[in-house]
Amino acid sequence: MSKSLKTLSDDLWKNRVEKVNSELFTLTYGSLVAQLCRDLNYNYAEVNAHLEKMGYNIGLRLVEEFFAQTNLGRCQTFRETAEVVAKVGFRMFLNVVPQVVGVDEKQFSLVLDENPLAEFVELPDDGKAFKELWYSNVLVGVLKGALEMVQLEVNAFFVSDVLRGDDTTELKVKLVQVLKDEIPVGED
Amino acid sequence: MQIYTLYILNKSGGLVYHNDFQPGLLQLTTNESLVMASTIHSIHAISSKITPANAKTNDLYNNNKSGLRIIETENFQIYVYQTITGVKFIGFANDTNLAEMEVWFKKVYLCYSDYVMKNPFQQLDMPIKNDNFDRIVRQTV
Repeated sequence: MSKSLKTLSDDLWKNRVEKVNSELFTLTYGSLVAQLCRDLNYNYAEVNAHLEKMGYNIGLRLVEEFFAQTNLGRCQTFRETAEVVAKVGFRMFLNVVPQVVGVDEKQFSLVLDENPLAEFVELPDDGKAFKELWYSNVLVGVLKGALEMVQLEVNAFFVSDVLRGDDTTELKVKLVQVLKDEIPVGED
Repeated sequence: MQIYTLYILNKSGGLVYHNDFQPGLLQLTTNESLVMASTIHSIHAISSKITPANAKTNDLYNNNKSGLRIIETENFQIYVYQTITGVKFIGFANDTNLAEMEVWFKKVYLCYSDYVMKNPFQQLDMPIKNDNFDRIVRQTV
């Protein structure tokens, strides 16, 4: 399974997906977060919420491209979902493959060894940002939105971020419920 | 392969897109198209429901495993393709087969994911009015 996922994502990355200059991407996201911070008066809890909401709306749409490009079917287990999200999803859209750790049928964690969103970032030294801002919180929203479209209601959040001085950047995803009633009829 | 018409249905069975590719087709009224779309949606669900539990399915990439796939008449066929998120693509065609249509549907799904979902002003599950999409879909026929 994981071998074929690798082959699939290699092929997708090389031949199928459109790419942009990574600095353009990083700087765009950076100025967006910085502007949000200014607009919201450095209320980082609100900034986090806004980033998540944006990500959520991205996720709802992004998932269609994911399936149109990959031809993958529905995952049978939440473990499989974790693998696919890390090895195909992140690879396809960000060209990184986070490590999947602490995985069971209800949750998993993604450890991002490299984070293209945060490349040149130093958090502001105002005493709050290090404790309150989750700089890459858009990813949380993307995961929630995308998984909701395949009828998985999840709770996702960052638990650590190297920007804050932690050792790793870890994003935790917990399964709340499978929205069984909303699975489209016609599947097995 | 001759493809006459494409319908796109949102996950609740509402018709959100309709495009005719061949000249001189007899037209349904908007209301009749809506009825047609929701009827196909319903029959699809019913046929899925009455599929025997041990029935074998063939292994197409289509996520429409147990629902209605084809309606045939003497002169044309209607094919139904469903994505994992529940969007249905319905193709009216002739001189073709399921496998060939499958390939076409996948192309259309790619166009949809690019030109519809990436339009920031497209509201989800709402009717699609999009000239770029019209053009690009026409090129796949």
